Amino acid sequence: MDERKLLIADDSELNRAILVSVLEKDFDILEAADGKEAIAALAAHEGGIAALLLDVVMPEADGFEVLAEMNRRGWIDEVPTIMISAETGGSYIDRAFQLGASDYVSRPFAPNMIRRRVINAILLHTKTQKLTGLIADRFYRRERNTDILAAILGYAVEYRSGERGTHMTNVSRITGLLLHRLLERTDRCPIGPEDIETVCIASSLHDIGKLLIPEGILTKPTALTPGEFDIVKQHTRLGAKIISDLPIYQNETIIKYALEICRWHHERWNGEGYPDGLKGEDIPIAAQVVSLADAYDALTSKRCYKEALSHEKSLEMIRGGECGSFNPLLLECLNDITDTLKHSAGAEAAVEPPAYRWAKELIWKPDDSRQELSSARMTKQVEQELSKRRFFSDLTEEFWFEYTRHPDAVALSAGAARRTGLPRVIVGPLSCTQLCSVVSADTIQAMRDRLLCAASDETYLEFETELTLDGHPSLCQIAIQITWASDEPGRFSSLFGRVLDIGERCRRLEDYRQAFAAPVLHPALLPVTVGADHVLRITGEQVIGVLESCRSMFDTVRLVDPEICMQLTDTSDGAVVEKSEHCYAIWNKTQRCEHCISQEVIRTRRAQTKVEAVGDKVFYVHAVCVEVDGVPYALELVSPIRMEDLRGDEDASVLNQLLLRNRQVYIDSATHVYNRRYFDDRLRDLDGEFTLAMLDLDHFKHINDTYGHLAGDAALSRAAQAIRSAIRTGDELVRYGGDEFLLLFHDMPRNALKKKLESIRAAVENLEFPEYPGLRITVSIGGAHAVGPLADTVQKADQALYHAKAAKNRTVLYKEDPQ
Amino acid sequence: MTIREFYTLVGGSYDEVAERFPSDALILRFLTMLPQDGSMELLARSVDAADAKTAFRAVHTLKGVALNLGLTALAGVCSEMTEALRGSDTLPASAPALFEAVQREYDKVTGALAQLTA
Repeated sequence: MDERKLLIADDSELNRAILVSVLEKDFDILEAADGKEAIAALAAHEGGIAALLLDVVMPEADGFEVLAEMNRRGWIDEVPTIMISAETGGSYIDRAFQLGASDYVSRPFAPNMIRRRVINAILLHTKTQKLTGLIADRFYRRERNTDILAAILGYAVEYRSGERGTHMTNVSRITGLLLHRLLERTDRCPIGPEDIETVCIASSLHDIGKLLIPEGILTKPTALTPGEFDIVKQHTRLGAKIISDLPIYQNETIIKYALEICRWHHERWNGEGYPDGLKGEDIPIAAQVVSLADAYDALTSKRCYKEALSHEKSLEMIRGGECGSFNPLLLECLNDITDTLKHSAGAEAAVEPPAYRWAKELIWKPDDSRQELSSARMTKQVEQELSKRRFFSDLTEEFWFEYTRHPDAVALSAGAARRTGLPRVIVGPLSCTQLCSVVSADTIQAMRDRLLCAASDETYLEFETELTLDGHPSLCQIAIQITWASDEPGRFSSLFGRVLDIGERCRRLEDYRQAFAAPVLHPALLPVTVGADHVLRITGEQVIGVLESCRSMFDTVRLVDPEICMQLTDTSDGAVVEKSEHCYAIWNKTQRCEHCISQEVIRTRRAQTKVEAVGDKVFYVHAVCVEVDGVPYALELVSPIRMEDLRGDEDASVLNQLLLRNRQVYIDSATHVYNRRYFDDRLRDLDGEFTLAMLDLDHFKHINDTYGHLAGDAALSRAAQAIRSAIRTGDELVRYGGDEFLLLFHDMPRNALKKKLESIRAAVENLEFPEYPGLRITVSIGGAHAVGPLADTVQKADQALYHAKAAKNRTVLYKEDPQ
Repeated sequence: MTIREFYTLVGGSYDEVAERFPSDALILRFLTMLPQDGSMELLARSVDAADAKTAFRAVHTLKGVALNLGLTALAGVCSEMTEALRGSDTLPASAPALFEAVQREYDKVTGALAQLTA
């Protein structure tokens, strides 16, 4: 390695010493103790520093500032830089690379490794420079050769006419100057900047037709006769013919221009040119430019039949129309470039070599590599998540699967693969016969049907079906989470599912039912306690008996196994095990209740109560934990809350009092929706991800004043009804204030919110009141979706509502203020 | 005292350092340069003067030096102080205690070093 200089910048002498000890054998070392010294050293030894080792934290100017300065002064491309730091934060590394560092090494480092890295960085840099140079060189030489070839050809044609000048190269050069100027003056030029070079080369061919004109006429020293002149004029047509007769290259751009130029470089703006008498804009611009260049050069050069004229005289003659008429715009261009013409007359075309710049860009492409870096990091993060998931999936005994649409494949967890005997990954599952032996065609069809009619805000699906597990059929419950495609509405992009073998649990429930067929004990003698802390312990045969005895008090009594959401229901017709319905179906829900009381009961072993609403009706649910042969279930006791219960009957049991109280407490009497107290007790302190809306009836006071308070009440209650019909079970509607409602959605995707709220707004708008003709109500809605305390999300929705209120009868979604 | 004993005494990792440096002589050479490295003094001065920015720089540099030499315990307390000072214009309340920890480890190292080179 030649004795080139290495600059080490670090504020710690010790650190520098370590690096020096490793590198002094191979390099001449310069040291800098801070950023300023480093910059000074770079300036002093400009061009002589092979590489820079740069610490980040330094006084005066830190590592990044040094890099920035190197960027400003153009050194960054000349000096490969390796950053060394104890910092390992990704942002530091990113920033270093963004500023153009070649490498980043963190402390502690192994000295030998450092040496290798430095050598490699320099090697890479050198190679890149060489490569750039090579490519540029090649390119440049090619271009140059082309230029020279064209010049020789043109010269040959002139030679035959007895001329020894540089007419062709002159015309080429002037054509180039005119075209550049033209492009600066107008944007309607059909020739783009990338074609200028091509046109210039093609222009060298403009008199090629003269090869077919008799030499005698061409070299005649005296004036031509009209007949002779006519022959000379043919060179336009002949030149075009030569080119169009070329057996090859007919599709090349240069041919197109050459044809135009050859044939029409003697046409004139007023149509008095030859051979075709084209006029004005009909003359292709390339031909126009060349004809002007030709005219100018003809005047300013010596010919065998005339002397050379001065630049000024030539311009005067051309402008005066003595060489024919030209495009006025071109004449102006000619005027504009007059100085360049005068002073570079006879000079070689100034070839600006863009080759070097082009080659450099091709090789280095700095922006791409920086972008690649951050996308590479993102890819790495995704890969990490995927590997975590794989790890989990491999370990689990549970039965999971994931189906993706693109690619069309199913991936199974280890447990799933084992129990079904299927491979871990199946591509094109629907056409896989092995899969079809596990999942019947009917099941698949049923699943597809369910998915087809699922709304875009539904993300959860649950159903039972039979699958073949461990070789024999088992009843299973499948729970699926749906991910909708963001770019294809109505289509899902993936499904993630869990399968539970519920056969055994179903069988147990069925056993209890059957046990009753042979009653052993009289129901009345059974110990039945429904206290708060009691866990009722009974045997399988006693189940029905217990259910029956509770029936006297409650409308519906059921034994619920919440794991699989099923129940043994005791109805008036006797005990029925409902297998096809889920325990939540009784509430008209499509998935597990948000506060599944049975799960709570089994988990805490304490009695729980809740209130459920189904359409217009409200139910009171009391649940206790029951262990049947040691297996825990929840015993749910359900009663509807009826209007009659409100009237203080003598028959009103304690239970009825309880029901009454709950109703009074949580249901708003006017609108039959939850009241503010429900919100305060149950919802207000929640924390998590929420989608909710605030709704406010417009002009409510005005309605009361105009139509009376009864109308106002009717408006409120009908509005509440309309809103309730538009929402799903699980969504909660609360009367928040006088004419204000709060609507809390359960699992509503963000992009479905606006549509939903709009449909509610429209529903309210379309309400009609037969008893109050002319009464119309509208509602203003503010929606919000956020993560955090519910109270905050409510505030956001409120702000959005405030904006909606400004216009009335509007839906506004809360948007974060872009700071 | 051997170099390995030195490292055990100051809570460093000899094995780690030996992997990176080709010889014990080299390790020793750099260890003896430690007392002359001005970072510890700079740190002390800037903590006294409540100059948070300079203190950050000094303790960060010291951390780098400690890491280079495999002085794990010293690097650890330096790292804590570095993080506490990162990005702030004033010394946090924890600064004196953190500084003391750094000083303690540093003194341990210089003390053991004196024995090693005796």
